[in-house]
Amino acid sequence: MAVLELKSLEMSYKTQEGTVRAIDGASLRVEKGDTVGIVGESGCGKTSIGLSILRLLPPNATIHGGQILFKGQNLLSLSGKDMRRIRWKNISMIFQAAMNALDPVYRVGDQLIEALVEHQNLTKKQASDKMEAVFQLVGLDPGRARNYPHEYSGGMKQRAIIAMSLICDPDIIIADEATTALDVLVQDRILASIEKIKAEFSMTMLYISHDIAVISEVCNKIAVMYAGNIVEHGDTMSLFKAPLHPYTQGLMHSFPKIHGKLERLEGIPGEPPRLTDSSPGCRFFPRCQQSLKKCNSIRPEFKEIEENHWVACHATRRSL
Amino acid sequence: MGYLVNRLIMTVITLFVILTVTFTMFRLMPGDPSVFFISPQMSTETIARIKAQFGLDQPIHKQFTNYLGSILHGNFGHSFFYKRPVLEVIGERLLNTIVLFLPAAIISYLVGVGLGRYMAWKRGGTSERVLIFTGLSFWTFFVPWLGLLMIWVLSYKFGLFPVGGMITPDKWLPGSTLLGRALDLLHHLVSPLVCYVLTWFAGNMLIMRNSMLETIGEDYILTVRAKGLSERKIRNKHAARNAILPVVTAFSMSIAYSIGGCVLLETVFSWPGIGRTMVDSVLLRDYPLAQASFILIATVVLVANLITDILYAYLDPRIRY
Repeated sequence: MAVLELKSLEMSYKTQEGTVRAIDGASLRVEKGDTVGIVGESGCGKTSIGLSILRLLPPNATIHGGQILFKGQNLLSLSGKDMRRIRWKNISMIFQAAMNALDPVYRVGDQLIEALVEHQNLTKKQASDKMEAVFQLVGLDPGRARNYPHEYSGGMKQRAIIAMSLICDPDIIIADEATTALDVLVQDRILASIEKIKAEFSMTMLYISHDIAVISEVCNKIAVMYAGNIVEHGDTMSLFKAPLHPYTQGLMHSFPKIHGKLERLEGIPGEPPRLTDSSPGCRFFPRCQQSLKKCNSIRPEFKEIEENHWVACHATRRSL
Repeated sequence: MGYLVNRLIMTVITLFVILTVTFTMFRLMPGDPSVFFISPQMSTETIARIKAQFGLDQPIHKQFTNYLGSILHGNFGHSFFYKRPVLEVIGERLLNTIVLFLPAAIISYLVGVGLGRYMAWKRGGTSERVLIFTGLSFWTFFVPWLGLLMIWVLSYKFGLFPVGGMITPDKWLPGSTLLGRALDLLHHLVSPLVCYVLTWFAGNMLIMRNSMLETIGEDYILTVRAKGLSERKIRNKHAARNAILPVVTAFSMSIAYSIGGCVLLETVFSWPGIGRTMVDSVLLRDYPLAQASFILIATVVLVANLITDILYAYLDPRIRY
């Protein structure tokens, strides 16, 4: 059974400009030990997926379709209290804005312990031992646990957040742009730590990032998101070697390769659609160079085309 | 520790400035204390002798050092009007004021912070609109008007509370019990206290509400929610704990401002406190008493500021100078 499974999830925000269909059918599987990356442009709904899973969406958001299955149990049908028990204990999160993710008036170590004692019955000693253990795991000096967040550097804060996400031994960690705010060197070191921890504990992760280079480094599976849809989902290797969806293909051509010939970057012409518009067809249709007649009127189904490789595209299926 | 020493030194310097300003102010006022005792019929020698008694014949810098020296020794002179040492008069008046204003300030603070926290958490509800309207209405009331209204309705119409004053002398005769005296004091305390709380709670409430709304949007609130904490813990332990910081600063300012209110309130409710004493002493040209009251009130504000600063440093680990 998959640790986490999204089944055609639909979610929208009510705004003054109308209803924004931020997630418009997203399906995804995360098996135990997998690291699945969600990649896509800014505003395509990546973060909304993370927040939907933990049900931490702002009040103007509603999930109006689909399922979020955690070990087979639909999180959307849980009571608030039961959901609270799952948060952090089973599903923890590394947030996008690590700089401000720690409460400035409490010591860092205490904030880690707070998460632990909320979910497990431990003595003070046990809790602080566990806290020190995860501190060491992410390469932080346990002696710094008594410091306040403002006494930490950006990289240290990020490590502390990662340590916090590990402290309850969760079944899955959702990392949302975990290293984006850091400079490349610190980012690399932290990614190395994440790699090490993942290997050591066979961690299951959902890694959300716009940075396809980071995703390809950390993840063994990738889900490509475009305008609220997951358009392609499969192994990192096959996605890189033979991307099937026209958007994925465009994406792969939009960043330079270190090895190989120096080529002019192609990019994808046009702009992502406004999510307030609701056209019945494929959302990538206006920018797609392989589009068919029906693409404008019928939304393509998300189908398993090869084993463990899903695509939502009319054109792809025909060419196979 | 360095912070504390720093703040103490700053306080002492400020106090010195206040003493200097007070000294200068009283010299700048037309006339001097001796006018009380001098009549035009007196001979020049008598006038000179009276002036010498007050030390007014000495050069100004000498007068200043005398003044500082006396104050450091706790000698504020004799009240012209009460014919008693100034410190004695002020001591009992100040106690009266504290009995009224300390509980009033604390209650209006707690009520304001509590309501502000509640409003921010239940944003957009009817209760929020009602509270804002009520709070702001009372906030804009003129204190003497509200006070008189309360006296008219509560004391005169319904006879629930005394019309004014601090005690009923009958109940403090020898042989009365301590409990009886306390109840009598409390009975007198209710009206002015409620009047103060009504006019002051809205300030704390609105600051707390705004600060709380800002805090609720912070990333660390999302983090603690993701950690699976209950809403109550998120609100009290994290959101309110961070939101309270600006309100603490506002508290010391409100103490400074409420001295004006203190004069009005004490006058309306005939409360024998320091605010009224100060106004009376100016009107009566009771120089020693007026001077001491000014210094005292400035000191109270200064100490309130010092306490706020220390409290702030304790509440916010980021504050260290």
